[in-house]
Amino acid sequence: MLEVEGLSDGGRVRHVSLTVRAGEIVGLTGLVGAGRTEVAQALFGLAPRSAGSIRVRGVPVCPRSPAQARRAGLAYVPEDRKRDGIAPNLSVRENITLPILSRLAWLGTVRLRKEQGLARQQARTFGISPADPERRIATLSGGNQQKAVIARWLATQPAVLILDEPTRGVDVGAKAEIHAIIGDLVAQGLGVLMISSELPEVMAVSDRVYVMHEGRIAPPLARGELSEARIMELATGEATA
Amino acid sequence: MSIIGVVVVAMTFVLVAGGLADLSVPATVATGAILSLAFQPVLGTVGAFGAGVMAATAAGVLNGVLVGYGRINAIIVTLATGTIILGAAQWSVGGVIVYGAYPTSGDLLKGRIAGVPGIVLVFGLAALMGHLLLSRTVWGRWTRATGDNYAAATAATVPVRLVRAGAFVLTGLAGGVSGGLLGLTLQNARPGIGQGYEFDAITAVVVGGVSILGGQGSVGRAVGGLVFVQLLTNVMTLAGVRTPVQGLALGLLIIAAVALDVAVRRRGGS
Repeated sequence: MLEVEGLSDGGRVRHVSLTVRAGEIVGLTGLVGAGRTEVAQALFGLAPRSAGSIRVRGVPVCPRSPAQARRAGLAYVPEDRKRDGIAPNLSVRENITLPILSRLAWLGTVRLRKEQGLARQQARTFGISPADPERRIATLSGGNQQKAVIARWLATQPAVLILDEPTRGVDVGAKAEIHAIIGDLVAQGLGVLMISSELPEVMAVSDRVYVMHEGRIAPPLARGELSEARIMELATGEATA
Repeated sequence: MSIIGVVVVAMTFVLVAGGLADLSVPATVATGAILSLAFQPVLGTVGAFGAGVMAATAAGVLNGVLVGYGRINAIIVTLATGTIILGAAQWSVGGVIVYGAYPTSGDLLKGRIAGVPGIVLVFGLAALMGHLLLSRTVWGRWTRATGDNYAAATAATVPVRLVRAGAFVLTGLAGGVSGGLLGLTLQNARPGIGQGYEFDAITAVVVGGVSILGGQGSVGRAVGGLVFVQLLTNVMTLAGVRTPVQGLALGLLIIAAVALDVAVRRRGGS
């Protein structure tokens, strides 16, 4: 689904290669500052790239803006929900439909019925509570805001979903729900790249795990090779691979 | 009030998009007024009006590119471009004061259509179009999202730079229309004709409860603010309040409106 080769951003990210297959959750971990978020931003056209090739569904793409990344089949749930995720004073509905608004419009005018229908459906599918999509999104709990951001991106019907710390600042119940949602999506053939610093989460959810250290990425660890000690070796650069 | 009202509608978009404010309005108004009279002998009334609006819109494009794509502070940009635009408009006609070539060309605006003054109809149309654009269209939603959270709108594939730039193109266009109407009504135009229009427009928008912090507000509220400020000014004048005191009152009103906005936002906790 996603094949990245030799990705560099001219700064922190140095020659990163990784693949995400359909129906697979791939973990991406490392110490803070290892360049994980920068990889996601470079993939999604939020930061410039200096080298590397990206293929989505086998098609070479070169997104220079989030809009181009979306058209290529990528979706990105950012790490800092308040800063980069939600528009706090817009409703849940307006937040969910933001990337696909043009598709819900006729001659530039939003078709409200259609939009409301889609928002209600997404709220139900993702178990957003309270279920009323007309509420200001800032009034929802962190976990429900996060579900809304995930619902926003799944509405674009992406091939690959990049999740950056999807359960940070989310209570235990919502965390389990979000993991269940991710599991369902993967079962339907979505590829997921999950960036996370929480090793238990990474090890529990991922099919394979990449570890980054100072902008470089190590070959992936398969499920059977996963252990906290092994990941920490790679993350701190102590491993002699 | 109708003439300034056209600018108020557009200024709403600048504030809602989080673009702060457009201070080049006096210059675009003067451009619209001067050109729509100066070009009358060459292009006719309609042609000259169009030329004035186009020149003012071009100035708005310049502002939009610098603010939206250059990411330079809007206050500084529009302060600078306002001076440049005004100079260019003055220089292009050579003189300091311009008179209309056809004294009857403003009659349609001053006359009444179905009992409503023509100029009020123009304002009503502008307000209606602005309202629909902000509340019903993809562009309007993008404008609110951009002003509410620029980074999140960017990540959600909203063309944030274009949206911000577009708001300044709108104020340029509105300044041109407003200036053209002013020129045709008065049948003369000086470079200082639009002085204070930026202040009056921002006052109306802010008093109407449109957030200076971006993301929140509607054309309806801004028009409400305009009506309120005009009524207040009229009442004060009728009550014999002197002009300097009126200025004091309006200034306090703006501070109160902005303070209330910031306080409400803090309590909103977002």
